[in-house]
Amino acid sequence: MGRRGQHRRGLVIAVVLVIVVLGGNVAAHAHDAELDLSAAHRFTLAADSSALARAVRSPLRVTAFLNAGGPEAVDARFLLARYHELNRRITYSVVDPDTQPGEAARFGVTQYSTVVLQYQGRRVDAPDATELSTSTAILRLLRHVSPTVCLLTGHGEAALDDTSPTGLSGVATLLRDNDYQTDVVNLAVGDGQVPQGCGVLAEIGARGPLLPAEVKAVNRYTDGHGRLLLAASSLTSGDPNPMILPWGIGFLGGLVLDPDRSLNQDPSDIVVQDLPSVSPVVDHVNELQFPAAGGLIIQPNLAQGLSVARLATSGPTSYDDTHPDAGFNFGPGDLAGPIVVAAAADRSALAPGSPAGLPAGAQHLERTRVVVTGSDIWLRNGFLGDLGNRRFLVNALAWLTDQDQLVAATSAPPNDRPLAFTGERQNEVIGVTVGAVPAGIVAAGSLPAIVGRRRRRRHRTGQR
Amino acid sequence: MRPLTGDRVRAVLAIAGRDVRTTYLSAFGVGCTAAFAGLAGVVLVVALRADQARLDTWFAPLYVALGLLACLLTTRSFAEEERSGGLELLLTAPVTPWQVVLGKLLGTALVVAVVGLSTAACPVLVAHLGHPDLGPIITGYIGVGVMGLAFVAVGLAVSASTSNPLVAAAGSAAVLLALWLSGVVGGGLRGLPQFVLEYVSPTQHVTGFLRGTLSVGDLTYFASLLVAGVGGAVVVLGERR
Repeated sequence: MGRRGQHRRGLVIAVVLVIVVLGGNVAAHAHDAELDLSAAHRFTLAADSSALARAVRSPLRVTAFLNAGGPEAVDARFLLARYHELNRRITYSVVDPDTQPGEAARFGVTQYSTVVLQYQGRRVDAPDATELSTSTAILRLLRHVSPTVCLLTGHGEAALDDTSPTGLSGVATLLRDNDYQTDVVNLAVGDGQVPQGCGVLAEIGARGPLLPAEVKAVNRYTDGHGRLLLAASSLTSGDPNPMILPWGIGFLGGLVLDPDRSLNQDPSDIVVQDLPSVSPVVDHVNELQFPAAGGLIIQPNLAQGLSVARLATSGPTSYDDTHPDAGFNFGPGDLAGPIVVAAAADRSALAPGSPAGLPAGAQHLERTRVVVTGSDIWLRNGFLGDLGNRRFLVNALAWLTDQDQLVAATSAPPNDRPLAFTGERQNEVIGVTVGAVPAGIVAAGSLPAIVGRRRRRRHRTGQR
Repeated sequence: MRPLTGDRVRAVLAIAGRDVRTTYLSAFGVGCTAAFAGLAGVVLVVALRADQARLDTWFAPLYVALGLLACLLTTRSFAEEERSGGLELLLTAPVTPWQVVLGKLLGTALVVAVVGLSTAACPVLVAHLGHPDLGPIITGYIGVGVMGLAFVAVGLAVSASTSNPLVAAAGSAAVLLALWLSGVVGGGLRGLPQFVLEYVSPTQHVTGFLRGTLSVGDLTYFASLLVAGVGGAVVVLGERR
């Protein structure tokens, strides 16, 4: 073959190679299949999650604030890479708040295990970088629905713009960060109705009584499939029971004291460790700090379709002191623990009628949801960031607005594989991997040279 | 390219066998293997300081080291051999460029396999000390094999195009580094440029091996590097002949 022929042949091979390489990759990208060998198939996204990731149409940025050296950060990178592989518009980064405090401050993140998702100028925080939390957060961003949380005012409630330790500016920030809108409602003025657009009505720490007309308005709202978050207070002169008794929850008042589970040597500053329900409101919540909480009671006989969950209870040695002003003592009339300090009621029923979008004659689910806590102090700026309080509020709002567990994805078990790497073990690993193995390789590699030298020496000796 | 049968396969095996022997009868081959095994040990100690019996943080730096090793090993395949005069003999022998390149690829891949095997003590030790997830270890080693082949092929193409071993090593490293960095550049872009630049970067395709998944896309990517590298080396060698 001549020089020109050789050149032409090389050109043909190059062109064929380019076609094969490009075609192969395009085909593989279009029909990608995967084998997941990880334990419990941790990194195979559920069908719901994959569909959600593909539905993202604009840049979606995920910033996971995690301990960069920990296994959670590695798993987060692996998991978030799956979303990125499915849709390049989803980008991610893992930020360590300790090494990048400026970035953490910019996002208002003060602790590990916060995942911030940003999409079309909106933001939603997820509690961790698991598939379930991430997909739920993406769904909330894609829904383009920002529920409004209406805060009742006019009874001595703290203000959302109050940045003092007793204020609620932390709640306002949390609501904004989780894509909720806020509105302040005073039922004593105007038409005395809860506005139609209220996704949740929140009554946080009223210090004075509500007028009968206001109570009626609240009950009308909840009866009409409303959502109520009521943070009761033992420090109030009002009675929240007319608003919550229809939902199977009563407020006992008094002061829950738990000498064994309290902080700052103050038995009324209780730490709640028992979260006995499977309600999504207590997902990822291990402990709560509920200072100055009054007890709640769950009615034994509930109306049909109504279910009530004990979200949080005090310890077994706690009690509800009905006369705390007379000193902290268990006396007559006091209720022995454990005492319920947070509860959730759900009344669901199939109702006739066809809301918009459903065919005529169809039935639809009507639902009322109520969350009651025996304390309002846990929502104040001085306590919102403590223990699991912040998570509890986010979960409660998500549950009240039907945004909980929106994705039927299974959350993979944590990939925690502890190995105590003691000094002794470190020496063992170094001895074997850095010492014995390389030395063995050098020894084995030197053998042919040594054998050859001996042979040559023997050969020379034989010649002499 | 004619089918590889009979004598042709023997020729490929002979070239590969000669390369393996030459490598391991020299201090270079033994030193590279021992150094890689030692490096794997050091990386393991650092990885285990997180007090977790997991090896994904061990494999990731090994993949980078594997790229450097491929650059070093392939330098000897053509550039070094041309300098010593061995390549001229090989090219005048009755073998085709395909046979030469496949023989060189097989020989270097066998060396990479031995180097990979030299790190086997690490996962065995971790399994002895804790309970690691076996899936990512299996896929991690599959990654070592697949990536090793691909990087060696790229190195062969560069090595075949120059007679200077230093240029060959630097050239291979530059190509792999450029591929690696394209992902970083692509990360700051949007749309098709982002997709293309990220896709051509190996970083996008090693994540699966690290987390314990094998995807057709990742395997195809490394197979493409292999095909492109081998094809490129054949074309260059054909031209030089």
